[in-house]
Amino acid sequence: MSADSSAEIGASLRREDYAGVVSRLVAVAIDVAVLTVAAAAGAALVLGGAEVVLGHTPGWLVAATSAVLGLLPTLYFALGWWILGQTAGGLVMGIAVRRLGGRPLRFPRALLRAILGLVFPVIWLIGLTLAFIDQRRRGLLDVITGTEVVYVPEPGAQQ
Amino acid sequence: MYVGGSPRDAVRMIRALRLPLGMAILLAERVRADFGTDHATDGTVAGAPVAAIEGTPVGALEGAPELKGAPVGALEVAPVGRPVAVPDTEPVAEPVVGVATAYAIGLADATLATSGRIVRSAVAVAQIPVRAGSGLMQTVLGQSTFDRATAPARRATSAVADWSAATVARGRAVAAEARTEAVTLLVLESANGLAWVRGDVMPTMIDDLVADPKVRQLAMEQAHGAINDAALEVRRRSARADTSLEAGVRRLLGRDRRELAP
Repeated sequence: MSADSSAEIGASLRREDYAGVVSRLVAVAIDVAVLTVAAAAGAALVLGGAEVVLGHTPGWLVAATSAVLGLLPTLYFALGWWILGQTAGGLVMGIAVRRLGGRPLRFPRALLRAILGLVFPVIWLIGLTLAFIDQRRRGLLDVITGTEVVYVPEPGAQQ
Repeated sequence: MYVGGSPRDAVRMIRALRLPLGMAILLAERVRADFGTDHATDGTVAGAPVAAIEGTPVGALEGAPELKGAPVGALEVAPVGRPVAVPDTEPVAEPVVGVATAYAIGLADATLATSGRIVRSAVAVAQIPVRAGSGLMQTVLGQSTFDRATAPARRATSAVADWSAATVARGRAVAAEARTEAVTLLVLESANGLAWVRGDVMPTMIDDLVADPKVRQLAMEQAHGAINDAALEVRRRSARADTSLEAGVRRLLGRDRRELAP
C-alpha cells in the first residue's frame, strides 16, 4: 500500500471514527485485568507445580518465572498490536491500533509503543489528554510512535 | 314424607356411573364459569369451585408420596364412596346441580335402587300374614264414609309429592358425591402423572438434550451471541462517552470545534 493511498484512507475517516479517551482507558483496564489473571495463574502453575513435583521451588525457576512475568506485559501489548492490531481489551472495546494512514504496525514500532507506555505510564496517561484536541484523537504516545487508534467497524456496518 | 326408601339407601347409583356423572358435572361447571352463565359473582360455581382441581390439590399432593402408584385404587378406599345421608326435610345445603338435573339423576338412582328393593319387597309381601288384611278392615270400618272414600286419593297425592321431593334430594346427593369422586380422581391422576413425568420422563429428556450436539451448539451460539451483544453495547456506550467527554472538555476550555478543524 502506497503512502498516497494510506493518506486517502486516513483522510476518509471522521473524527468520530477514532477511539476516544474513555474507550481506550476501558480497554487498558481490561488488559490489566487479563494480565493480572494470566500472570497469577502462570506463576501459580509453574511454581506450584514445581513444589508438587520436586518438593521444593528451585531458585533458578523463581528467577526465570519473574523474568517472564516481567516481560509478559511488554510481549502482550507488542505481539497483540503487531499481529492483530488489538489486545484483549481492544477486542472487547472494538478498537485497533494502526499506523498513520491505516497500515498495520510492524513489530519494532509495536514494541516501542509497548515499552514507552509501560515505562512511562504517567506520561502516557497525561499525554492522553492530547486526544481531546487532536483531530485524530491521538495521544502523546501516538504522536511519538506515529500511530492512531480507530474503532473497528461493527459486523454488517457500512463504512 | 319420603316413602320410597330410607335415606341410607339414597345413593345407590353404581360406581361406574358415578364417575362419568361427576366428570360431566365438572365439565358443566367449567363451561358455566368460562362463559359467564353462572350466577356466582366470583366466577366460581357456588359451593363447587372448579379451581379445586387447578389450584391447591396438585401442590398439596406433591409431598404425599403415598399417593404415587395408587390412583384409581385409592378411590376404592377413599371416604368419598360412603353413602350420603339425605335429609328428610331439607335439600342438600350447596346443590351442585339444578332441580331438573337433580330430578333426573335422582330418578335414575331411584330406578336402580327400586330394582333391588322390589325383589326384597316381593319376598316380604309373600310373607305378609292375613292379619295385615284384618287390620286394614278394622281401620276402614272405624272412619267416616267421606274419609274412607277420599283417603286413597289423598294418600296417593301426598305420596307423589313426597316422592318427587325425595327424588330431587336424592339426585342432588348423588351429584354431590359423584362430583367429589371425580375431583378426587382427577387430583390423584394429576399428581401421579406429574410424579411420573418428573421421575421418569424429565431426567431422560434432559439427558438426551444434554447429549445432543445440536443442543450444545445452540447453547454455545446463544452464549456467544449474548456476549457479543454485551460487548457491542459497551462499545456504543463508551463511544458516546468519548464524544460527551470531549464536548465537556471543549466547553471547559472555551474552544470551538471549528478552531480544531484542520
